[in-house]
Amino acid sequence: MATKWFLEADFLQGCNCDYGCPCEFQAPPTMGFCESTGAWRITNGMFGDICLAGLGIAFAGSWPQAVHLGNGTAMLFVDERATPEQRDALRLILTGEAGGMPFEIIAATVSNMLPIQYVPFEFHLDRRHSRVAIGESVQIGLVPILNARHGSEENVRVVHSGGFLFRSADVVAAKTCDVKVDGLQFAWPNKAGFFAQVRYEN
Amino acid sequence: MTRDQLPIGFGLAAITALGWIFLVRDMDSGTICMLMMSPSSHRWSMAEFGAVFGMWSIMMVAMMIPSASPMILLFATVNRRRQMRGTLFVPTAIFVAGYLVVWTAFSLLATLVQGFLQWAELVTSSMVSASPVLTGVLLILCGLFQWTPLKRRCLEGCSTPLAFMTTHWREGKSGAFTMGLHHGALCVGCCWALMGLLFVAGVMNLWWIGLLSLVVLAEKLAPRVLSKPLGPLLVAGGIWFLI
Repeated sequence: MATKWFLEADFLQGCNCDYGCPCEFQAPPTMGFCESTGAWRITNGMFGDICLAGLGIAFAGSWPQAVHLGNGTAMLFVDERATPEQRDALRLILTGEAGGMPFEIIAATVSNMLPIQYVPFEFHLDRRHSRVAIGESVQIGLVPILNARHGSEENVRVVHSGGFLFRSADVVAAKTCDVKVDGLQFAWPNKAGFFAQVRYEN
Repeated sequence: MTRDQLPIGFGLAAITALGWIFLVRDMDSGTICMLMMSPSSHRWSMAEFGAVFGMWSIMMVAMMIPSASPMILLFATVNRRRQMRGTLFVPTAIFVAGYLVVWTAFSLLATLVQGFLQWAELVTSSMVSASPVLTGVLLILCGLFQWTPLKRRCLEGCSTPLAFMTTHWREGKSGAFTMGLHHGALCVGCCWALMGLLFVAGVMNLWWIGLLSLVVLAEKLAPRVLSKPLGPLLVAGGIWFLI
């Protein structure tokens, strides 16, 4: 039996879809393909008896069609402050090898998994104004969606019992969604973003 | 489709092709033809009942496997990765079996309904609606169903493999079978009314079967474009038959 694990985390996500990201519901991606990145700051988590609290993890990926149709290319990022044991644990969780949702399903859609990067994470967590810098290569910066007429900040929340990455989230704009690593390069400013508190386990 | 999905994809295509070959061949030979020649309102023998039930079951496989394939392929990939890692995995056939059990149960129900309709002479022995009223009612019923919350929920469940897999995943063989049943139930919930339309232009009308299969598939791929607009179209068609 695989080691039991759970994670509770603050989660930031940005992608190339229009606000709201149709892929979260039941429609194909806005542009027909998916380029996205997401980062979790673990507030509480265990892998067996290894504590994971306080660490950052992230992914960046590109899928030629809707994510579930596969053939994705992805890179995983793990906080450089993680000890060798923590690195092992997070690698097993993120690659789906430890079992458990959503990582095992998402990993199944990736056919080209690039080598894991161990980098510093700089989180600035403030719900709809959150941002994160992951090493030199990935930035996600969230801002509220602005009202088209008044320019005032919109407060949009989605509650979605059937969501695959979160069950509820603030729907925001990703002012920055930049990925620049070997094998993956994209920038989608002012597209779909989410901020959520999540819990995953196997 | 990715490379490691090819064997399963090929298998699914083969099952579907066999289903269609059977349907095409059965058009001009076999037990179904005998049925067609007999007077419509006579009571079916067990053999005839079995033949119609068999035909419905095979037709459902031919019609539904293509649109279920994204879900099946995703299930297969997860388990293939587990197999490569040397951890416990479940053969995809078990998931597919659960899915088809639900459609076979639906086929049994469809056979009983067809038997009743033929006995009531609402459907001819060549399995086409004999009554404009029946045709109209079927079209309107199906059209209205397109707009119900039940239809929306089932369509959302069966057209989003990522969300279905992450929220309804179950471990083990019985878990895989249960997931198959669950996915099958969502699909039946989604498509039963469309299947009722088979009586409109003939249960053994290959072009009609093909067209309905395409509608099922297209609705899953582009639910927002097709699902709701189809409702008024069907209702309008139904009213046209009624007046």
